[in-house]
Amino acid sequence: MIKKIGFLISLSLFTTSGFSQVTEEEQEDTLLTNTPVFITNLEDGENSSGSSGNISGLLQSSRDVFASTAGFNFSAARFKIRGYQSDKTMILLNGIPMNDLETGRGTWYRWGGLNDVTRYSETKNWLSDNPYHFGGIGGYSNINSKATGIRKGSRVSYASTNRAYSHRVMYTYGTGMQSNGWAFAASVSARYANEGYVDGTSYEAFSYFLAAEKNINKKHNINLTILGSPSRRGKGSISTLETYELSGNNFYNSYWGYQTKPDGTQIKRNSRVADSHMPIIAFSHEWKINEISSLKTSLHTSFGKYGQTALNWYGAKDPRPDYYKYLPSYYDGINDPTNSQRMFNNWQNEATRQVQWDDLYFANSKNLFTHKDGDGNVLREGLRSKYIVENRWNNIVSGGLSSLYTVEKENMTINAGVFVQAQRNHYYNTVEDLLGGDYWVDVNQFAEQDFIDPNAAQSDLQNPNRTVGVGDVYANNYYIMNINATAFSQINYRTKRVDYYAAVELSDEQFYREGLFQTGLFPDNSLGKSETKNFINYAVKGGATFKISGRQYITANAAYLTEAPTSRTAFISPRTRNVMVDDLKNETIYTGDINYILRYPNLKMRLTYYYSERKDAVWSRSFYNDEYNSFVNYVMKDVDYFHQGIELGVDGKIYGGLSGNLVVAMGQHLYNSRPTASIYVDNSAELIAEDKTVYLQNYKMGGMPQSAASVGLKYSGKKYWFAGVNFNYFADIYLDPNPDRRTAEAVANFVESDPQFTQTIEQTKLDNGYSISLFAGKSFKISNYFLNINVNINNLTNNTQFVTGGFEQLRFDQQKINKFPPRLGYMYGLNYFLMATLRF
Amino acid sequence: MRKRINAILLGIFAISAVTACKKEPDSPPVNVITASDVITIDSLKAWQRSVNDAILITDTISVYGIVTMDEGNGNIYKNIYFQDHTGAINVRFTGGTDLVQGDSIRIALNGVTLNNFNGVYQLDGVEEETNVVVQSSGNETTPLTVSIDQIQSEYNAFLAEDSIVEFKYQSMLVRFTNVQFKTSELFSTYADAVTQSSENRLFEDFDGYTSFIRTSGFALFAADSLPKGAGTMICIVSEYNEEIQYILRSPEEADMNGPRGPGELLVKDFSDDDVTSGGWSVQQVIGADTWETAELGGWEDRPYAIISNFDDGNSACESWLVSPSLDLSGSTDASLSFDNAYNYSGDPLELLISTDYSGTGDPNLATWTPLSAIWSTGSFDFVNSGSIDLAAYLTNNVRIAFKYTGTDSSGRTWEIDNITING
Repeated sequence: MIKKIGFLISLSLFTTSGFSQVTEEEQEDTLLTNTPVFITNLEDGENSSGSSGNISGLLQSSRDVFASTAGFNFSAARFKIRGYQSDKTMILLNGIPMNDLETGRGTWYRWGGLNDVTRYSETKNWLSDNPYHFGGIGGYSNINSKATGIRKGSRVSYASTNRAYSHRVMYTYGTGMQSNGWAFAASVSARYANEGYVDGTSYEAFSYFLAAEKNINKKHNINLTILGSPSRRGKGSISTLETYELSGNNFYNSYWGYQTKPDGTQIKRNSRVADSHMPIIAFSHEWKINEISSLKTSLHTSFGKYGQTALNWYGAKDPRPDYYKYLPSYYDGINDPTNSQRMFNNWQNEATRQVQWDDLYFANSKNLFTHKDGDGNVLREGLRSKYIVENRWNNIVSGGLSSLYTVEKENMTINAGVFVQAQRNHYYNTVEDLLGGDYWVDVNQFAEQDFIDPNAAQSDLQNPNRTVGVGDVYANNYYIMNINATAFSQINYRTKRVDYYAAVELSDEQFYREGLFQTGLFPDNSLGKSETKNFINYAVKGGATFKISGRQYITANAAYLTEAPTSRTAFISPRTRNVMVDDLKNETIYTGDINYILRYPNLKMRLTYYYSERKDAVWSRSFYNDEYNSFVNYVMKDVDYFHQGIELGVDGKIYGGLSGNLVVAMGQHLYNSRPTASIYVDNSAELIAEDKTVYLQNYKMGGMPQSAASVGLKYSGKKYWFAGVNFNYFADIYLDPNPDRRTAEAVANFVESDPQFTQTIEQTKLDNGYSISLFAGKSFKISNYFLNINVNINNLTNNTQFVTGGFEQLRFDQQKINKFPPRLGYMYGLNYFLMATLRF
Repeated sequence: MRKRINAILLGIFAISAVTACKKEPDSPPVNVITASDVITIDSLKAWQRSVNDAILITDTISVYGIVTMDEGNGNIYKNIYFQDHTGAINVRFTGGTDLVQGDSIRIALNGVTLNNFNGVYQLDGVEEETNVVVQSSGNETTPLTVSIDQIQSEYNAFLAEDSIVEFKYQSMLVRFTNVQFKTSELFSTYADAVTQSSENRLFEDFDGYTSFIRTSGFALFAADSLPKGAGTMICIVSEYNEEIQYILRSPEEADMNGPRGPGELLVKDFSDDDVTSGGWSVQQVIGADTWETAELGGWEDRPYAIISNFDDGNSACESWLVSPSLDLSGSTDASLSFDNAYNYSGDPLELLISTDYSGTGDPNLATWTPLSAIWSTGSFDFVNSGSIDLAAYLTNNVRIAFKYTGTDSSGRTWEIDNITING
């Protein structure tokens, strides 16, 4: 789950859109039985997790009540295990590392919908040994995508839900290993929603998986897997409290609006449509060298597109309906009751509080314009679009080689692996729709206003004064190249009372930017390759399990590692120039945990204390600021994080088929330093701020409950049915702080006793919240057919008032903090997932 | 079982370990304000007076107070009135502000100019963005209840003594009771919204004291009619060229819709250059020489009414200037005053009063009673008639008249102005 969130954040160019996607995606994959990371209670009976069988492995397997509850019951509130983002968890496909090289994050969207394949991933949710890779401090998840990983036979399912999508069908077939040494497997699925839980959202997605495996002989096995998941989704926004109150809808979505078709009918159109398809092809060869040693080598490649549309405009008023000047509060703030009332009235009507597509077309239809170059030569005549829909592409080509050598003896296992990966991200914008106009002029609006040199406004000096049409590349165009080479080795040693493991890793990370446009503002450092950054890192970890008895254990783990900064955070304003953060440093992490574990037949419990420190991280965000008419890039370096907390999971039989469970997570996830911040604008060479100190120490990391608890009951009947209920409680939820508000500059006009001082720096704590979830299932055996019917219902009480997170806008007004209020997201109201599965 | 208890104890220990480390969030460096960094409005005024020139403040000092008047109604622009427990001051900004009446604010004075403009103390050149910090909103200042006389007396004393004692009411929010706009103003608007020029509007209290409010032609209520009754009025005390004037924050605060009290019932000052406006009439009994208006001479309130029977020689004349009918039945007291002047020789002007004249026809057919007044001693020297008691005529249909008489051989030139009847 957390991987998914992380990925989506990584994809978004805006902090705003990132958040909304979290909601949508998270809901989708909270689906019972469908999350690849957490295997839920329902699937326990089918769990055939491939963990290696030693005790310490089992202890943190996906059966862990804490992990399954956190995945199933806490994800709707954006809970993150140990407060980590997805870059701290290693995702593997058949042992091949799949984390995005540019961001370090998980890329679940590449196999979305292939739940029959990903269901049985081997997952550990925190620091542990890892037979495939050194992994992250947040654990790992390895998806078995071999043909023999799919159960022999057919499996067909239909699901109905009211979340991101409405319907899902899936068919999976596996031959198992046949006597001729071949195994084949295939899985296809489709997901669809004309309109999802949130107004104006839509969902069309397909998925495919094909695998062929061959036992060449007793020593050699080869496997080929091809999978992909093309999807097209209309997105949901996250907005301010005022917009929710005005619209009377806590799921107000500012991205859509009505458009009148030529025949007079009106359709709902979403301005933010994500379109992705990034297939993976993986070939692997397993060689059993002898009784104790094996070598597995894989080659993989992945390539495809990820585009996200958005409105763009030139010399026209902001088309976004929740723009702050379209809200009554803006006019209340300037003593203008007339306009305040006018805006209030505007928000009373669904048609007028959404995107005004017809107005955008109208504005374009009236803008007959002759575009000339600097010498007055006419370049283009016709309707110059004031508004367009653009598509922001991030297309990836990646590939790599993975090789893992394993020696397994009675008391000892040794793994050693090497991984080489390269990834090229191609970022560019295209015109998606001219909205009735004839052309768009590819110039930098802000530069055009500010500079006399007409070249400064050119997006591409190699190709100046361009007018562009649908499909043309414009505005920015560049590659980000990442190359990673990693070697690791791990040893596990087992004794009667104690099991030990230790691992080391050495890695090299390189990245550079290659500009394809010569930007007018930065003619000397935008085209061609940037400097190549190279980072060498090492990591060590170790742990021990003390077997007090066969039912009682104490385990402890510790790790020290350094990590390269990601190219995503290293480049400042990559849309326009080859400039990186000064003095890029490796991030240093040390972490450890200690666990007390009981595994009685009728009582299972884990109690954990964990501690993590991360030092010298880079933090960056971009946001659109209409004063600059441009993206503003905010970069902090030397950001330290601190995490500590306890995790408790108890699952015990009460009487007969009735069992109870209790899960408690109490965390403290803090910023732990005074970073320095620099602020840049995409469309200007001006440096707005450089190395200003951000007083961020001990602020809480926001956007997630730092603490959560769940108490539940489950009854398992004798005739293959079960039902359960959980009450979930979420606490210590904070808005992630805007660093710029925690600077001396932000409060320079204030004295300590001014209320604005506190208002500016104080972190907003959100109200605690709760949810109730229900789940039930029954299995039938009809001759050789197995029918399973499962249902789960989240938020049974339809509590739509629970703000599960949000963030302070990076833009702020010193005198009126509320002029740019935080953007908030609510937990979905009652939602369900009903699924019938037939196996034969 | 013991194991389970151990686990519970361990859990409690772990929970307390986490919760015990409560870490206070960081805070950027910020200035702390101490008592010595705060100055009061009276101290600012004293400072200005001692320097007696514009002071550009460079110290990091602040003044706290409440906004008593904002720019919302357009009556003032780029400035506000600001009051603390020691006094009030006008605060002038470099641009329009978003400040609202009732905002409690701190003004950081660094970079602000402390000034005195035509007697009014001002903080000038204030930047809302950097100098003003709103502490809270909705703090209504209770206006000080005063009388016109009280303020005028204080002000006169201040002007006369030129003392170091400040005129404490300057820029303060005050409230008058039992006030009404003068009868002469009743059909006026607050200001001239068409030409957007400021206007002064006279008001009076039941004790007979008079002052005026001054309203900008840009005020949103400039085109509103003045209230016609009596009641209370809340306004800001201002002054200009050694004259007190008041500024209204909002027309709602001129809450003057009750029954009118004693005050001016009628004013005829001929400022409209019209002898018969306002229901006045001229009854020409003999001859053709009649009442006119003129602007000659040194009299300050020009134009005034004038009559003379001399035009290359005297001719016989009897001409009455008759007031409109007055209803004095509701008054407990009534009086008349006017200014008059004459020159040359001839009959005196007569001041008469009647309760039975119809308003048309020969006035000699009605019953008229002479009233005594202080009259000019000639040479066109204007004198005021003094207050002429009308207590004997508290009925309806009361008219006063000036009867001019001239002969073929003599006749004075009479000038009349500022005829006022209070009741």
